[in-house]
Amino acid sequence: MLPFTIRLELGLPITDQILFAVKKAVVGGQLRPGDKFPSVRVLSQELKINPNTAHKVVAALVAQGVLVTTPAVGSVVAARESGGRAEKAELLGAEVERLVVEAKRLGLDQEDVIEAVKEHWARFNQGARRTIVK
Amino acid sequence: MNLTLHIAIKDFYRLRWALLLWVVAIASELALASIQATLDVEGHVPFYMAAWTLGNIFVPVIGYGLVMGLQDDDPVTEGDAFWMTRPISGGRLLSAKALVLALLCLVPVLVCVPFWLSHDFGLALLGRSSAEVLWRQVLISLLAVPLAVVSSSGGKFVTNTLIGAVTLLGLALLYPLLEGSSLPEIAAPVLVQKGWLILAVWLIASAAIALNQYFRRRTKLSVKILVAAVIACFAISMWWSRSGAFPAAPVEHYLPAPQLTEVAVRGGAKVVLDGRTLRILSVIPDFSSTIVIEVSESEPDAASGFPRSLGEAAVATSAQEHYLLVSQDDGSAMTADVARKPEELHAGGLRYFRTTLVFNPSKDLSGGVPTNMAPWLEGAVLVKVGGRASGQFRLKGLPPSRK
Amino acid sequence: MNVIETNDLSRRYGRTDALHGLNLSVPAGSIFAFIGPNGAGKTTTIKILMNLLEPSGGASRVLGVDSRRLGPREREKIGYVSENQKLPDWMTVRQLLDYCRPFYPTWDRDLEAKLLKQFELPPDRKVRQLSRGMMMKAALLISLPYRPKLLVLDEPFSGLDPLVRDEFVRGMLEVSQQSEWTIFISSHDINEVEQLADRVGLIDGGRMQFAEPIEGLMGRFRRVEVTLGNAEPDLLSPPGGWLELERMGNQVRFVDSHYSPDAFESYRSERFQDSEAILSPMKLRDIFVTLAKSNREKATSGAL
Repeated sequence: MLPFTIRLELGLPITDQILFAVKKAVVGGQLRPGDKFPSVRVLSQELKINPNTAHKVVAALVAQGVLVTTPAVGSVVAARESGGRAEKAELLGAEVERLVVEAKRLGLDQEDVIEAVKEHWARFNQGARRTIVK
Repeated sequence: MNLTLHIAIKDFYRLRWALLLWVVAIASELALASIQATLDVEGHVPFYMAAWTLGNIFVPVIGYGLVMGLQDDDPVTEGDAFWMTRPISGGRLLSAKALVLALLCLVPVLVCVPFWLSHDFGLALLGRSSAEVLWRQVLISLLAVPLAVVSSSGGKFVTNTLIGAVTLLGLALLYPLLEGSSLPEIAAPVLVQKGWLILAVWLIASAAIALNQYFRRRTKLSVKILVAAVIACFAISMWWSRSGAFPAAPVEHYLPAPQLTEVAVRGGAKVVLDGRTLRILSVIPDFSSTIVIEVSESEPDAASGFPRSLGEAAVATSAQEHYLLVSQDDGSAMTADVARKPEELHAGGLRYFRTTLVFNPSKDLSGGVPTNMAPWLEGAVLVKVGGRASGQFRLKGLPPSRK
Repeated sequence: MNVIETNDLSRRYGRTDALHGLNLSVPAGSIFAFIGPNGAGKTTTIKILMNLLEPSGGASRVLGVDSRRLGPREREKIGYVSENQKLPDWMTVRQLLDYCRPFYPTWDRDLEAKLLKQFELPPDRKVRQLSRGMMMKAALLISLPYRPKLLVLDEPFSGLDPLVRDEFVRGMLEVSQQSEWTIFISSHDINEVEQLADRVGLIDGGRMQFAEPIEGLMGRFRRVEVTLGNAEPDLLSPPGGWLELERMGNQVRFVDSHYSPDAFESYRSERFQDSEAILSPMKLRDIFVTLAKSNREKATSGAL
């Protein structure tokens, strides 16, 4: 089990997908500063990816300051200022892009999309359980 | 542990049940033959048949099958057999299989040794008997090996064996056709010479095939060698010199005689040595031409002055012009004295005794049978304990005229 | 150092070329996915590399040794799992391990025990009584404890359910952690290898079509959907990298196999004025299908 949510999709670079998922987890609070991050080995086994790739991911996370390596414990989530709204919104980027693409495929315009977002937001707030179909 | 041994042990373990079956078959044959030898002429037949079936069908067939059983876990035809992708070289595999094959040939010998020992076989006899039994399995293995190494599986081996058998049958039928007449007689020495030559050809071909398969796995080439070997053996058996370059074994003359006619004893008589009694039992249920003979020691008994009887025996003789049939129907019996001390000849698996019997009709015989047989019929009886009796009865002196 | 290297390798069966001028290199430490359609020559290549088959021409080297001379010394460092190879089916799992162990000087019994447990194989069950999935795991089990330098997998996933595939991959990755090795895997299950491979090689018609790092490959393939505006698109003499080009109404779709942001921008502005384009990355499997189709077309149309 990994301490962050991720579902790998085919077609997209694995490194990017994991980086993204980890950052989302940090920003969203699922991963807190000081939390132990899985080793390369565990990462590779759990996600069933090439250990080289897992290694690259951890290296990138360390390089980007998301993780810190400590001699005794291994990789640990770095302490940082909590992300601002802008940063969090940026993490939504991929989802938004998907939304836009789908809307375009359906022939909708920006207004339609905003309306749809408002409607779904309202429904969500009303507490109705929703299964998000990807 | 030595890796070759490791592979060999694996194979022995895998074949353990078949081996057990084989050992049981061999031991059963010996047991049944032993029982049979103690029975009288009528009761022994089922035992004899059972022993014969075991010894001449089951044991060789299982021995043949074991060779394939040894091979098919590690096929040496093309493909990706398990061993090929492990650190096992062709040479090592071949050594391991050869080791197991050699030990397999020893198994029948080991099973027979206690039996032979219980029949007081001496060392020399043991040696000779072991050699014969060993030889039998070696020949079977030699037949099986080339077929086994070119077969990719047990099923294919059976198919190839059948093809081989059919081919042999076909060649055997071809034989008289090429000759233009029925199979002519071939003198024994020539037969022996041919046999060795064919054996040599087959041995070389088998070795070539085995090396080719274990090291190169060129099955097509192996099959070609095999076919060539079969043709060569056939050709040798057909056309190799019939002139009999080897002199015949010297004939022993028991007594000087102006004319000798050899008469063959119809086979089928079985002889068993029971202590000091030589018992000859007829297997062929045709007692009309049976001579009951009494076998006795050659040295006269100190007390009676006559050679001591070793017991009674019945020997069947075939009808030919120069000697006489003595019928048992009238209850008459003819006794024969042993003119020479029974001599052990050799034991090809079983004991051979040779002796000379002098037939002395003790009673008048009737029914077209001359009465003046005494003592002109002398024979050397070659008997094989537990096996068939063959004999050569020579007429000493002139044959009597027929009535 | 290349763990596997072929030079102009060819193999002929009668009058057909199963392999023709095959050039392949697999660098040490990589996971190389060897993909291709049925009959493309994958198994033939692997058999030649493993010295189970003789090539008709060319050369190949494995672990620095001419593959024709691959012997026990090299095999001590090679693991081989193939969907076609038959294990000794009369042995139990334990007996199979006991049989294989002495042949490998580097066999690690602790690793063996760990993997046995991980694979959940019943040690006293005969191989012939194992399900297909368990049999493949057993085949892998005997190929790992000696930490081979090269692991060759020929269609290891075929016929395995997802759970078993999972376990299979975990087992492989377990050993990956502990030593530097190279994995050469030919598979139809392209989705499975996508996440594992560093490099991908495609073989078709007995020849290597390409071999490159997977990131590069997936980086240069994009599915392009263009929704046209008012201007007519220029579809004459499309760039060589465009595949499966089709036009339906106001939509143009194709696969760009040589995508780069700059190249895209340039042809977009030249050929698709006043249009909206959507670029989607492609799964390796879809890349494979696209390429296979285009090779078929080239073959039948006589081009190339």
